[in-house]
Parts: sequence; C-alpha cells; structure tokens
Amino acid sequence: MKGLLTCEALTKRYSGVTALNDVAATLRPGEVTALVGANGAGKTTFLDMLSGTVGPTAGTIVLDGRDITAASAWQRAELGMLRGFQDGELFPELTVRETLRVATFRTRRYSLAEALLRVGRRRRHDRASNAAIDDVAGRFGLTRWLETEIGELSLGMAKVVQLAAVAVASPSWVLLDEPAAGLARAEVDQLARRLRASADAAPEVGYLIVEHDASLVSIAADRVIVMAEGAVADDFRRGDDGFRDLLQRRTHAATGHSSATPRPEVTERPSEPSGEVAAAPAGVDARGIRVTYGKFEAVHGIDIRIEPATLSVLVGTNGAGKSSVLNAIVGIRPPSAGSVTLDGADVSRRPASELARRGLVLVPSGRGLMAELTVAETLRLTRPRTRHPDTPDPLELFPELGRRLGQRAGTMSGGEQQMVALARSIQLDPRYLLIDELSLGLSTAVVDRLVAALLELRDRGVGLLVVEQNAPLALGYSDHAFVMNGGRMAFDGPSAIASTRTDLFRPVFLDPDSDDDTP
Amino acid sequence: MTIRHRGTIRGTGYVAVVAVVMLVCALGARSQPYLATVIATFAVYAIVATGLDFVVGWLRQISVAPAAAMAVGAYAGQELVADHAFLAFVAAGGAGLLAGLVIGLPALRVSGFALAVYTLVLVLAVELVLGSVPYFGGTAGRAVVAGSLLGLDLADPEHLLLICLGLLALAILTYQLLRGSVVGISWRAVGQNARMATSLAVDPVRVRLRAFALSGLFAGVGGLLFAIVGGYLSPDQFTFGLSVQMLAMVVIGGRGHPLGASVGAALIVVYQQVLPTTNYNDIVIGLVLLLAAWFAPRGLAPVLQDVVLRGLRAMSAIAGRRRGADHVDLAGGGSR
Repeated sequence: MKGLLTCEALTKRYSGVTALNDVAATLRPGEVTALVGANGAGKTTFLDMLSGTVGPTAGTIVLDGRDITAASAWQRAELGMLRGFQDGELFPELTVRETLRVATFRTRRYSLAEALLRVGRRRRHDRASNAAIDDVAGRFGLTRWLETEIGELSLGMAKVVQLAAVAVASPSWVLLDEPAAGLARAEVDQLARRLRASADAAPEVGYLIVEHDASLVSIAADRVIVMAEGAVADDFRRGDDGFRDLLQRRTHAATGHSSATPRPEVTERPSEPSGEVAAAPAGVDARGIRVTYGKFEAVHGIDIRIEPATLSVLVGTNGAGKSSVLNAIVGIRPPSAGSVTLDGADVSRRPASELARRGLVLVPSGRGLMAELTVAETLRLTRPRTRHPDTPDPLELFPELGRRLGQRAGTMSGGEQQMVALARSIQLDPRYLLIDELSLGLSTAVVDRLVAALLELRDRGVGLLVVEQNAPLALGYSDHAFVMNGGRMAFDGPSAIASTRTDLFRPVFLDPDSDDDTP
Repeated sequence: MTIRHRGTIRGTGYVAVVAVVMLVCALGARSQPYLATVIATFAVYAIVATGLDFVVGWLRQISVAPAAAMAVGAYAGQELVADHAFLAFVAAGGAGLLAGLVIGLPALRVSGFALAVYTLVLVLAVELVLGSVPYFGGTAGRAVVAGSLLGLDLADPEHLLLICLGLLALAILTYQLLRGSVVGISWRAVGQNARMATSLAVDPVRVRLRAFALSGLFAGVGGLLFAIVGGYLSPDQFTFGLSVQMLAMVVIGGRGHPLGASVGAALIVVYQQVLPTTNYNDIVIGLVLLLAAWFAPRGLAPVLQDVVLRGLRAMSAIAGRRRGADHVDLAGGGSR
C-alpha cells in the first residue's frame, strides 16, 4: 500500500529509563489514528521519533517502503511528514502570511539567486504560494489575520495557524501533539470536524494524533492506539467493540465514580458568617483574578481561597488556566485584575520573593530543580540559619533523601525529584504551600508517598493547594476541590461532592489505573 | 486588497527614501572632500551592519566577528585594488564569504552567548595572524593605493563616495529582496523557532551557513572599502571594538528592519564626528542609548518609519481635503 508508515521494535531509553519499549505499528494513509494513554505513557516520545525530533535507541521506521530511521527532522518534513507541536509554537515575529510562506518552502522553493534577481521560479512560485495561502487562510478563517504577527494572536488562534501551515505544506502525513489542548469546547468540536473532513477529502493523507480529549477522538478517529508504560496496550478500529467501550469507559473514568452512588447535593460554598469577615480570617484569599497573555485572557475573574490546615486541589484540563492562577497568586506573573490577601493583609502585586518570605511558597511545575546540583546543594539553597523547633525537617518527612544527598537532581527519578522539590520548599517553613502538578508522570505508589507527606504538613497547620490534571486521583486525596474549565471556576466545594459531579469533567483520557514513572 | 496595497507602497517607499537620502548625500558633499569621506565611512559601516543583520536580526545570533570578515576581505583585495579594482572587490567578497562560513561553523552547535565567545576568539585570532605574519605587512600596516572602478577614481573622495553609496543601495536592495522571498522568510523562521522551521522542511544547518556566508560577503566588501576610504590598512583597525560598534548599529538602528543598520550607522558616525571633543561625550551617548533601549526596544528605524508614515498620512489628508478625498488612500496607505 502506498504511503504506509510502519515502525518496528522502536525503543527509546533516557539514561536508564525506558520511555518507549519495542513498539511496532503500521499506520495507513486515509486514516485518522489517535494515540491515547496516560501522561508519561510514551505518546509524545513516539511522535517525536516518527517526526525525527528525537532519534530512537533501537528500531526502524519505514515510510512508503523507504527506511527513514536515519533521516533528520527536516528531511522527513520534506518527504511530507509534517508535525505540529503541543503548545501551538510558531514564529512570534513573523506575520501569519509569512508563517504560511515558510510552509510553502517544501513544495515551492527557489534559490538565493532567483530570490535576489526576481527571475526563474521566484515569480511563478510566489504567485502560486500566495494563491494557496489565500485559499487555506479562507478555509481556516484566517483571512483577516494574514498581516498580524503571531505574537499578537491567542493560543487558540496560533494553533489554528499551525494547522493551516501544515495544510499549506500539502503533507502526506500529519503528526499532531494534543491539538485540542487549551481550546474551548466549541473549538474542539470544530477542530474534530475539520480533521474528519480533511481526512475524508484526501484519502492519500494519513493522520496520527496524540490526544486526551475523548470527544475529539470519537468524532475524528478511525483507529485508536492505547499506550501504557511505553508500549502499545490496545489497538482498536472504529466499529470494534473495544473502540466503543474505550470511549464510554473513559468518559466515566474521568470522574472516578459511577453515577450509581449519588450523594446528597449540598451548597457548594458555605457562605461565611458575615460577622467574622471583618476579623481578617487566616488564609489566602484571591478574588476576581484575571490573567491575560497579550490580547488573550486565560483566566476570566475567579475567586479562590486557601484555608490553613486544609489540603485543596485545583483540577482541570490542559489550558484551563490552573498554572496561571497559581502564578498570579504568588506574584510570579501578576494578574491583570483582582486582589490577593495573605492572612488579611493585601499582598496583590507584591514580588514572589517577598511572598515566599511571608510564608506563601510555590513548587513550580516541572519541579524547578537545577539538574546539575546535588540534593545536599539544593537543600542548602533554602536551609534556614537556625531551625525553628516547629519547622518540619525535610529529611524527617522524606528519610529516603538522606541516603541520596550526594546525587545530582538531574539523574533522579521523577518521584525523587518531586521529593527534593517539596523538601526544598518545606525548609522555607511555609504556612501556605502551592504545588503545580504533583502527580504528573508518577506511579501511584510514589504519589501515595508524596500525599502522605502533604497530609502530615496539613496536620501541622499548613494550607495546601495542589494543581492536578488527574481529577479522580486528586479528588481522592484532598479535602476541598476547585474545578476550572476554560478559565472559569466550575466548582468550589468539598472533594467528595466534586467526585459525584459527572457534569464537571470533560471526558478525557486519563487512566486512573496507570502505573508509570518517568523522570 | 488594501493590505497588499500597503505592502507595495512600503517597498517602494524604502527605495524612495534611500534614493533621496543618497542623492542629498552625493550632492551635499560636492567639492567637500572631508564631508565626502565621512559619508563614505557611514556607507561602509552601513553595508557591514546590514550584512550583520542577517545574523543578528534574522538568525537571532550574536556574532562579534564582522571585524574579522572585514579584515579578511580587506587583505584579500588590497593587492589587486591598484590595477584591477573590480577583481579586488570580487576577491574581497569571496574571501569575506569564506570567512563568514568559518564564523558560522560554531553556530551549528552553539548559540547565543556561547557563540559570541567563539566568534570573539576568531576576531582575536585574525588580528594576531595579520599582525605577526610578515606577508601581511605586520602591525605597522601599509598604505592602500586604489585604482579606478567602473570609470570612477577610487582615490577621489567624491567618486569613492558614489561607489560606497551605490554599494550600500545594492546591499539594502539585496536585503529587501531577500526579506520578502521564501528564502529570507525561512531564515527568519529558523531564527525564531528552529524546531518548528525544521518541521516545515527547512534545513537549519544550510540556512545558518548561508546567512553567515552572506553576512561575511557584505563584511568582506565593506572591509576593502573601509581600507580604501582610510587609505591605510593595518591589523589594529579590525578590532573587537569595531565588531561591537557594528552590533550596536544593528541593535540601536533596529534588528530585522531594512533601514535599521543604516540608521544605526548614521547615528554612530554622527556621534564620532560631532561629539568627540567634549568630555561628557560618553555620558551623553550612554544616556541616548539608555533612552533608545527604553523607548524603542525594537530599534529606532521602526519608530522613525512610524513618524514618517504618520507625517505622510497627515500631509495626504490635507492634500486630499484640498483635491477631494480620492487620493487619501493611495498616498497614506489606507486609514486604520
């Protein structure tokens, strides 16, 4: 079959950790294949190796009967394998038209001399390119934006431009990494229908899409490959029972509860007795928080409260605005509107370093460790000169770190790195600890271990707010839950109640049973 | 349609601005050899800086080696320039191009600050080699005797000025033609996001080498002109300091703007000519730089362009009111 993309025994190891193990697959043009699985299952690694962004440790990749394992990323793109990246990344200071012009490079290029002398292919190709660009821009609704710089566009628009660029390049294979992430519900449906329509219109083009969003998969995909722990776990086609079951199962799994055990509905936010408000209650209060990036507003005015001695979680999908909220509260990226009070004192727009000194500490996503520093050096950064007797000793909380003091952080597993990051922040003696992505890519055993430490901190009176993508997991271990959706607060109440609210969660592919641990 | 329209007006606008400025320069310097030399120096700086912008503005890399490429070009052409001036310029351009390739090699592996350090080593090496190998005339340097090119006498400041301005016009034209072509756009794309450009079938290695080579070609020709304008050639003319000056021109004038390098070069030359006698000079220029960085982070050229366009629009609005509204859109480039 023409245009077949196959791989055999594809394996990728990163310093001892196997991200992808002996994967074999045959992908057919004319099909939309969705690649699903939990975070860390190896989906993006698989995509990276197919597109040539990352070289495999072992295995072969064959496109249309030709071994392309050794071909570089641009050579594969030249062969027609076009790839989009997760965060809609593009060229910030090029206009939309110029960006689409780059995409015409594959099919309508000309030499430096032709460019300078305006002879030969330049005129012909420029004319054809502009016609193709105008056509694609029309189809993607970008005509108005052609002369706008990419940096001025919202994330959603940038993602559309990326798709348009792929379309302009007339690909034979399209590889996309989470095209729906960060898009609003309506945009996801539109994207899914557009993908489906493109695939139906051009049966010679193949699509491989890493996606968490179940509805996009159910609308667009012909085939679903489920990955777990770096290997292919399941492979279903539309029409298979497995395909239907998978979509249904995921839809329910997202909440972690069956609707068979309804709980009594209570008021979502107990209103504060008005007499106590004036007494400046302890806690962190963020009110009316808005966060904007350029012209794009990511968070549309939300309230959030961190109580002392409470473990709260903030859940929502990619792009819901969770990290933006954390960064706004601690002052790393101040909000465009709204106020933050810390134990009654207004700390809006105070620098992050001051807030950290005053007891409001953030553990950033990705753990923010310096890979070259050892555990001991990392901990020395925040070690107080004299330890207050009440301050928790991080090595008491994580005794396993005591044996690893000489190890460099970059060589540790993801779980150990998260422990180091937590230990470093705990030394600052926080009264409020904010953690961006606690469980991302970690095994359940490790998460249990980390949660145990957080509960101990809570019992010592620390107020915690943990951002999680994995809602069922987060709701299982927390006292209080905030659920964000598209930059708005969808729920604010006890975690036990959030678990019963199936309506809150978009059906997503997050496997609560998954067990994997990548650094 | 209005957008396309504005694009062409902008393109021809640059040509008009460049032509007018050059005509004024050439006429203004008639029978004033000193002024002619000063303007020629400006043109030489602007040629090299325009070439450097391929690296700084498009690839977004820092190279402090343009002085090295200038030196290589100047030394390659200086023997020939008395009798075969045209060949001398070809040799200077070719040698500069090769020098650019060598400068660009580390850019395939490192970028940003590390690249700047590597290129710094190259500048020092070239200066050292030229100074210590007897064939090149040693540190004492030598006089440059220039012949004639295309019927113009290179020893005559006014003729030399015409050649310098002509080459600068050619440099800006090259820049502008490349900027609008898929070639130039792909170079800029590599500078802004190499990973994404790669996934659109652009080979970043080829792009980087070519941009550095073209930048070297401009520097090589500029280097030979620099020696002819000075009438003298010695290794200590091509110092690290000269490279930093070139970088400053590009950054202050406006990275990625066709006239940015020229605006920056004009500023530096004016500074060297008008202000060098006072003691507070460095403080004044430092303050100007600080203000420029604060108010025009993308450089002065885009700001000037904005002012000029606004002026033109206002003028055409007045003219339009006098003659009826038809002409407003044509001359002003659309109302926004």
